[in-house]
Amino acid sequence: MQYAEMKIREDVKYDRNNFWIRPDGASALIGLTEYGQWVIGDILYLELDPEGKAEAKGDRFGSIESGKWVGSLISPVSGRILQRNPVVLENPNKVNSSPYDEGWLIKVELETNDELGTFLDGEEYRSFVKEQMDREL
Amino acid sequence: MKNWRLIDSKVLSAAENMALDRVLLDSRSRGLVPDTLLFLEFTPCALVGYHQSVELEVEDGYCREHGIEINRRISGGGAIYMDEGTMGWALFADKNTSGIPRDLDEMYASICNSVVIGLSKLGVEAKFRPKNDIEVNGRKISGTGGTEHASSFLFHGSLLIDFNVDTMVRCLKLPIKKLDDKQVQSFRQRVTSLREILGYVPEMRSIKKALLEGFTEVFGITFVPGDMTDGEEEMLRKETRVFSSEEWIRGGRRVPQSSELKINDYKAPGGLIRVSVLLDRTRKRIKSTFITGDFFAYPERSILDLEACLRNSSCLEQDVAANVNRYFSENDIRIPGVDARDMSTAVCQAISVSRSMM
Repeated sequence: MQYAEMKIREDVKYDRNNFWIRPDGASALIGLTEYGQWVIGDILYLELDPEGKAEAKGDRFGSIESGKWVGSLISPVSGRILQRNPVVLENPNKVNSSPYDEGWLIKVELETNDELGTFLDGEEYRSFVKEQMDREL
Repeated sequence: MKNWRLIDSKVLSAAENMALDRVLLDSRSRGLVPDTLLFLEFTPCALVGYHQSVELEVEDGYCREHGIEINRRISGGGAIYMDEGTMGWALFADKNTSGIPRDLDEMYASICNSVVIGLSKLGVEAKFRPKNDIEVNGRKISGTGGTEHASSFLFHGSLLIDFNVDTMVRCLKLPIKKLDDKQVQSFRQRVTSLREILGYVPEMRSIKKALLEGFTEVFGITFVPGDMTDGEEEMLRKETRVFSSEEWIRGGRRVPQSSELKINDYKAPGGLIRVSVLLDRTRKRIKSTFITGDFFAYPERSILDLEACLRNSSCLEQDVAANVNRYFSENDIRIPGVDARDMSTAVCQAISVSRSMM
């Protein structure tokens, strides 16, 4: 995939582990970005921590497998998991095909809104992705 | 030249070996130890991948009766059988280690190619088969997998030295149950071993020396023989208890999955195509296929490559057809009387037969 084809939305925030965060009052939806899922490749297995579990920012909240590689899903925020997306648990490939919509991962009750200020906006994340892709060339 | 620690572990139980992976990855990621290469030796064991279900992948009763330990890796991939006729190698390193690509596909290729070079020192002409296997004339001799923790990664592989294929066939749930002896014999051709290629079993120390030379050549590494630290030894004792637990081996996996074996015969103009497929309908994936028949394929390995191409791919009819068509169009495959459409029809019919063989 070319950089120009990489979908980066303006209505969500981003972290440097390629997660998007869509805050909604005291909670937020979290998912992998288009670039994030592209780096991982065809997702074969996805495991998410149970609902109700509290995660600190930087904690592992699940695992993802592609091409015999098991990667960690690192929570971009501190909070409690309110909901796991049943669609991706059943069909992890939805994260590949619809990363910003049907392929969201978890809904979290935010412990604090303070962490939201640390995220990248669309423009900043676009530069970050470009830097990453240039490095891989 | 970069210095890496080399740990040449003695024969350990499956639980100890699996725990060792976690311990060394953890201590590397905390910066307590240098980048490390580990050689492992095994007692008979069946090891499932991190997300797999023991129940779906391993013949539990057979393993119990024959003293074959069952355990779970922290890395991905499918179930494997390991014993005294195999060995393991594992790299634990920082993700920013110079010379090791960060891109996963490139990392697989460069590490596997260093093993290929190592094997060439023994007189074995192996090749890297993307994404992450090492083969000799289309037959697998080493499978690999990996995982990561914080800033470090583990990439490891098996090496078949004097491999007991019969035990593997009996202790894993492979797509060959209900097949006749001739077909099972054909399945055996999917893997090979140093003994089979060389006609003798090289000494373990020669094999390890050759592999080290391969890693040195590709990555410019100097290996310094070392031991685990006291902290690692202590952690290994603790983690072995965790890795011996039923919770780790059989419980706790929350990934919905299923497994069913389907077999179907399809009559093409060029001959009969028998497709045996292990299907995960929950995840809509082909887990593995085994394709035999009385047709003639050129080159001979083309069917093995097709099986590799279908592994873990979508089992939806249009996707199967697209994958088989792409495989035929991108490779120079000649099977008199069998074209891409015959092959995709044969696979799709096997997927759609209503009767499960398991």
